[in-house]
Amino acid sequence: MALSTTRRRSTTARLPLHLLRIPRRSSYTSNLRSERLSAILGIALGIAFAVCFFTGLASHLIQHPVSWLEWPARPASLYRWITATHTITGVASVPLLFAKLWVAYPKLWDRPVVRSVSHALQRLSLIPLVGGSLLLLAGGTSNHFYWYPNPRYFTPTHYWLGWITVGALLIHIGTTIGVTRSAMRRRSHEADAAWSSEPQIKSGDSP
Amino acid sequence: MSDSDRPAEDGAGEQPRVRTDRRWFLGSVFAASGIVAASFTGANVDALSELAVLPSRRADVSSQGLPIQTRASQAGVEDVVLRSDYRVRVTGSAVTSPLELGVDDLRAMTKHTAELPISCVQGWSVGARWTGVPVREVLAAAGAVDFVEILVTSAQKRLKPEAMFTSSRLNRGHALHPDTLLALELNGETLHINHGFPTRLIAPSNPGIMQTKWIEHLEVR
Repeated sequence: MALSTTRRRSTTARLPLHLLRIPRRSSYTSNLRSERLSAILGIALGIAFAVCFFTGLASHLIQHPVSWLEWPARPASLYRWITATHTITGVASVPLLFAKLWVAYPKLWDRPVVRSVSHALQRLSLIPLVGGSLLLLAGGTSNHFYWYPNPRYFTPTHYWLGWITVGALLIHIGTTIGVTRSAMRRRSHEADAAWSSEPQIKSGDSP
Repeated sequence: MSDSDRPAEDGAGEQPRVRTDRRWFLGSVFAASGIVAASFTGANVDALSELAVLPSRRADVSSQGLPIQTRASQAGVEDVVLRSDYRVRVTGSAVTSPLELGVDDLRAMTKHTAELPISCVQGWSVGARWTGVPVREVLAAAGAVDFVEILVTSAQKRLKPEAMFTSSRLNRGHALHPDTLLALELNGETLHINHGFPTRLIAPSNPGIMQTKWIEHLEVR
């Protein structure tokens, strides 16, 4: 009897109950993460996404002609460069996006959940930004391999996701540019050490 | 470990090692990104095709030096395009003398050779040498001068109406470009049926899906 009680107790002790607790930013202990690392990956992704968006938009306009643009026949390889650049920047974004998400996601658990209007906007914009980015890269990659798990036709989905993601990206840049600037400007020691603590709340704080 | 321990761990003593680790992390991420980018560059730059380990289409997995997206059997055009009565019709509001051109008629017209890539929206592109009749020669023969665009339609559209990309619009600038061809030959050989025999459209700086194969009708309007 005593033995079985002991066994039951030790089973309870082994249950990973700590996983049920809502983590905080400080629960993530890797000291690889830093504000500067997040900023560098963000800038690289921003450039890649901008190039990818405009080349994708050009490709869309060629296939859906508009009255204000007659697509030129010269130079002969222009479309080749456009579609190649779109594909290359898209696939190059895949490792960058996963790294960026890994570096930044502990911030998701920051408390208080919302610090200011701008912080609320930044958080809300993460839904279309992260969702859109993942679907765009997954969709583009599966399109390249002629695999269509989405029953809807690929192009319109990809096109509208592009606009949604870029819209969310503009909000993201607008609300985080201050953090990015200071992370890139400060001496690296400060930018590197600032990660594991959550921002202090003060009135009029920006994220 | 409590939160209060952490500042000490991030202290100046640990800093150089952490920074080295971060440089390795960032370096690995950029390297992964660069390797994927290089591989897909190989799918688009002919001289680098050896690098195309990841992409789905390669120049060396092809017929007549060019990968194939839709085969004639998939398009359902095999029987129709091999018949002796196959004709390319040239009609439309801008045409003064409508034409019906057989394969021999096309072969007898002024031909031109151009180096143009097939640039696929699926993210690969391969350069090729095309010989055929410039579309502007066909327009001249049909007496089409004032037009906005040409609707180029494949035999596939009639046989598989549900299929996509079975016709394309060629704007005026593209139609009048000397390199825009009703192609009859690819890399020095008669166009393979899977590449659009008897004739396909090839125009500079257009997506592959607009380079219509198995052409049956040009509507100049």
